[in-house]
Amino acid sequence: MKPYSDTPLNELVSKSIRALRDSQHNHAIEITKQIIEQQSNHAGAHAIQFSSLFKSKRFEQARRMGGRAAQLNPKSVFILNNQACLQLEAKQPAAAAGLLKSLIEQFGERAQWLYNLALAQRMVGNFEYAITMFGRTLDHQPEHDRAAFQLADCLQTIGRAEEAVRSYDYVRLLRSKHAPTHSNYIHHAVANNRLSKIDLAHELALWRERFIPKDKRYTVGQPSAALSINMGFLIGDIEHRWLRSMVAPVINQLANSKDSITVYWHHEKPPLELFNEDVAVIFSAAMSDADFARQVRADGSDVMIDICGMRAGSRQRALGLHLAGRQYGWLAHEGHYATPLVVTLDDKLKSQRFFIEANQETTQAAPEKTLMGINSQRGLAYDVVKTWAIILHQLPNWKLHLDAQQQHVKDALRQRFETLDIADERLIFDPQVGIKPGSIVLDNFITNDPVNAGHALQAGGILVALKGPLFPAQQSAALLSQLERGDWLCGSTAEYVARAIALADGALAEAIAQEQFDSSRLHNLQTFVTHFRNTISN
Amino acid sequence: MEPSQIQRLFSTGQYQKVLDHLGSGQASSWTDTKKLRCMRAIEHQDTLAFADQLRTMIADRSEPYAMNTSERNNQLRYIALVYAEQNRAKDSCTIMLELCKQSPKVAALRREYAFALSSDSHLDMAESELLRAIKLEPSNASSHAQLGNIYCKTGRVDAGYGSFSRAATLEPDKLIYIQRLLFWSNYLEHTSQQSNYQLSQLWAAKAFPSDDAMAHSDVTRTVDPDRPLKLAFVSADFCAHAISFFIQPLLSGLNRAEFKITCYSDTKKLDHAAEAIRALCDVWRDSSRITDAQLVEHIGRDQIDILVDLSGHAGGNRLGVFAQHAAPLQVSWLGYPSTTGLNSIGYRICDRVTDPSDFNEQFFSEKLLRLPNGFLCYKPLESAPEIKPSGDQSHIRFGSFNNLAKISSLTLDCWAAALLAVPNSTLCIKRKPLIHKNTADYFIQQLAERGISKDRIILKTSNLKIEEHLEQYNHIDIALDTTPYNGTTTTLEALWMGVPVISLIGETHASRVSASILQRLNLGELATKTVFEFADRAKELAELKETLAELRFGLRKRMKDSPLMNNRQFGREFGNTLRSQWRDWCEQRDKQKNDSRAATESKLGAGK
Repeated sequence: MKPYSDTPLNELVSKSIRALRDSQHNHAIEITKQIIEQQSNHAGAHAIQFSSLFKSKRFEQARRMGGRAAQLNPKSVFILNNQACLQLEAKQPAAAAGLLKSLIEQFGERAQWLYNLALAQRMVGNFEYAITMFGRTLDHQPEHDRAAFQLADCLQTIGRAEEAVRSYDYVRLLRSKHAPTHSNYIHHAVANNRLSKIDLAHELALWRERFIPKDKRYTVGQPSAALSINMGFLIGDIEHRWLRSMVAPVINQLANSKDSITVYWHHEKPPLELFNEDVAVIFSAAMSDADFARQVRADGSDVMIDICGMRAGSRQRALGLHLAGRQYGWLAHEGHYATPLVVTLDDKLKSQRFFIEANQETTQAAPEKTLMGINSQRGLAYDVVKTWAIILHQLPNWKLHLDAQQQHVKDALRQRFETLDIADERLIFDPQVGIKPGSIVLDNFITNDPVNAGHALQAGGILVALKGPLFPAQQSAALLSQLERGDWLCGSTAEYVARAIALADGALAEAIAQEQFDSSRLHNLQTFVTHFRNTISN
Repeated sequence: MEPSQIQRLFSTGQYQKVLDHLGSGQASSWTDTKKLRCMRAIEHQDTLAFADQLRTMIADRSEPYAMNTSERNNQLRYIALVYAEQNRAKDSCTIMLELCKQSPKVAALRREYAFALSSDSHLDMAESELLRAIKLEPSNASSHAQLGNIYCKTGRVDAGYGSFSRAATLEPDKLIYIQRLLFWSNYLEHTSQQSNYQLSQLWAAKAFPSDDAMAHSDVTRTVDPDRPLKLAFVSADFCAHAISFFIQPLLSGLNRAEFKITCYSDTKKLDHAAEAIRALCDVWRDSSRITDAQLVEHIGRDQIDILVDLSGHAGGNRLGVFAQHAAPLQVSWLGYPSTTGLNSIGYRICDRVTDPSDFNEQFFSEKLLRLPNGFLCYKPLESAPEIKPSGDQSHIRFGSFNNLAKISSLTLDCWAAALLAVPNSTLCIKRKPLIHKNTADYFIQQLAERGISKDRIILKTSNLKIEEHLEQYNHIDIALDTTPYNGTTTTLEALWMGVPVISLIGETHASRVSASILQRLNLGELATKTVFEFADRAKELAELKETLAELRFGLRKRMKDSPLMNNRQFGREFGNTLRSQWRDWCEQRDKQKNDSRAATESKLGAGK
């Protein structure tokens, strides 16, 4: 005999409601099954069972019974919203958006529905709509931290960088004790030049004080003096072209030698075809900082090289525990670490700071009188747009080619240039168009990209660059220095503008010759790796 | 009473009770220090004298009780704090410097020394001390906030905002930090209306979770749409402050048969401007020493119908009173350029230029009421100096006497573009904090970055009398406005002194105020839309020297003849707008009354 078989129906309903309220979902499901057995079209029981299935994340079962529950409870906002969530879960954002819009139309706005609608819009790439809806969510519930985070992320994705930084800052007001939230803010603020050096020092000191455990259990000793080094590479959310052209070749080359190499991979998606079989790849995305620390300790790394900094996937808490005998930051960081236990490698590499794989892609040469703006794939900071607009104003017959490829980023850039009186027809977004010898290449002087700059120089472009106060704005300067072309660097934005105009007016500038590339060893993997290894082992 | 009981009273803010109990006890270092702290907290009139007395005792070693070094130093800290607050900053600095020398690694002492230095206008040294304090103790919110204050005062609002943001994340429940973020975000060009609104909503949700637009249904007033109304203004700036130039013409322009005026003055200053405002009121109340709850009570007793806030999120505001819905109609006007975020403030007075009809009204918690001829009326300083002919004709002299905090990066772009467009021109920036080296260096460096050499920049720092300050406009040909926070009083003063102002229009109220002013003088073309247009306009004006001369001697008359100085018209429009909202309120009240009567009758009917 089944339990409750003698219990009256209304009592069973009360019990199921209580079970649902107390998060005893399995119990609620069991009771409602009995109610439905007794009365197959019992609306309440269907609603409770559906909710319990949903809350206990049995999405497939919930989906199966969702239609019937909604049919029996046409006015239940809870069921309709959960159905929309199920559609989101099943990656069917259009269906979810339809349900949510009808819900809002019938019953008015509620924070959670607006948030779900915004998520659905984001999934289909309708960022502007998503931004509006996340904003509406916050109007109703200003402390909705997930909406605030999503809003910041959408703004960042479509290249509205300054607004994004402000939004990330807002998120940390809501999640003041959440380390990744602060890391996120620091990373984006540095990448967009929104922090001074002093501010950055304050942010990092605060981060260390708040988030780095004082626990020294994981501390390991100095690396062994053995011939082979056990080396770990911690890779966060970095640009794919950096991985392909700068990082993976170095790792693979190191793995070919006697060293043992482990890559701690932040993404859930595997790094297909990036690393050779001698490289051990550990998926660390799901690990807590403590688990990560345990893992690295178990792997016995002598040297850990962080290629992440404060980006998504940051492990500065774990690095603060001294995971490996020596810990270095390389390429993708903010110039300084929250923990003094990580030393930045870039300056230590001195005059041979970069290896960049030579570009093999062929493109059509840019039309005459076209300035080539690089590193706009993720949008441009206002200061860069403003400076480039000044140049275009002074060169009314010239156009500007931008390498942004995603439609929403292109739209945002068009809009930003338009507010500075630069008409759409003066902007070219054509991925087939490339740099030719003698092209004037305008560097994104807030967020440099050594790969793009290196490839532009390789193609014979004349780079107009400027060294900024923060690390992301100092890469091009280091690259030019490696190529012994430090004299190309401008000292101020006024000089940057003047140089671009002088070049357009025909000032002579010779592209960097092949011999210079050879002597700089920018494209010489073997020498770079030897130098790299010597630097970290000394 | 036991020390622990006294301590309990002290930590719950019952300072007067602590003083009462301390009076009867035996004197000790502990009791004297506690007494000084309580007197300071309640702003007792004898605080300074008591601090002096303690200091003399320490200096003479004549204290009637034993005191170890730590106790003595602790007492000295509080004496120094009292001095810093009561215009004895130099004495405060002397004490704190000595304490810092004794204990160089105590962050709190560095912070307090910085406070003393700030009070003595040594902002550079204060900045250095705060940087030291932060290095010693990175997670002290107060150090970050103090540093933020200095950055903002000296024109580095971006950095200041960052400091306040760190303070806010360190102490998320201290809402003053969120208010500082809100206030300063108006000065930043990268603030969107959406982000500002969001922040105001967060503040409101945290500060007043029950803030409700409908709460005024509890407020009882005679429901009569046409009766004379009691109109009250709340401000901490009823003194020689910019507010006085705008409140006086309004008070003299309002129809006094229709409106009875009360001013709740939240400042202890009672200068000539305060006297002038007071003379224009029916009732003047000093509210500077009472709590929010007491002020709400006063407003209720005074039967105020319409309460106008003149501060918004600025320092010394009384939004706590407005959140309690002290009057049936609550309005925000003039003193703050954005939304308060409070649902209990139903309206905000603006105009069609500052807040055009296609404006994003969803980013205001208030309903926007647009006055037809501008949201403000100006009364210039009566003793303003005469306009003199432009002497030096050899080059154009640009000038800006705006608050340094308003000189954003975008402002500097505009100014640099204007200077580059007009060869040999110079720019005079005049403001007191430029006396500090860090501040002066910052602006010189920022302009150099934009291609403007140091010899074209004139930094003036003197803190002159207002007449002498205005006289300086006789050495300026064209005034350059700031953005996204335009000058208001500064724009009007420049115009009154015959100097045209070039402005850049933005998307927020703060960035459209000069446009509103210029439009009323038929000078709308001086409000430009881009940096390039700004520079073009500067060049055009510079080249048309005759036009400049014509404006120089014609602007004053043009202002007098314009709605900008028409008190009666402004008073009528302001009054009509409020009256119309009052009528709506009465109508709503009648409807509510009828609805509830109908509901009662139907209940009774059903009962039968």
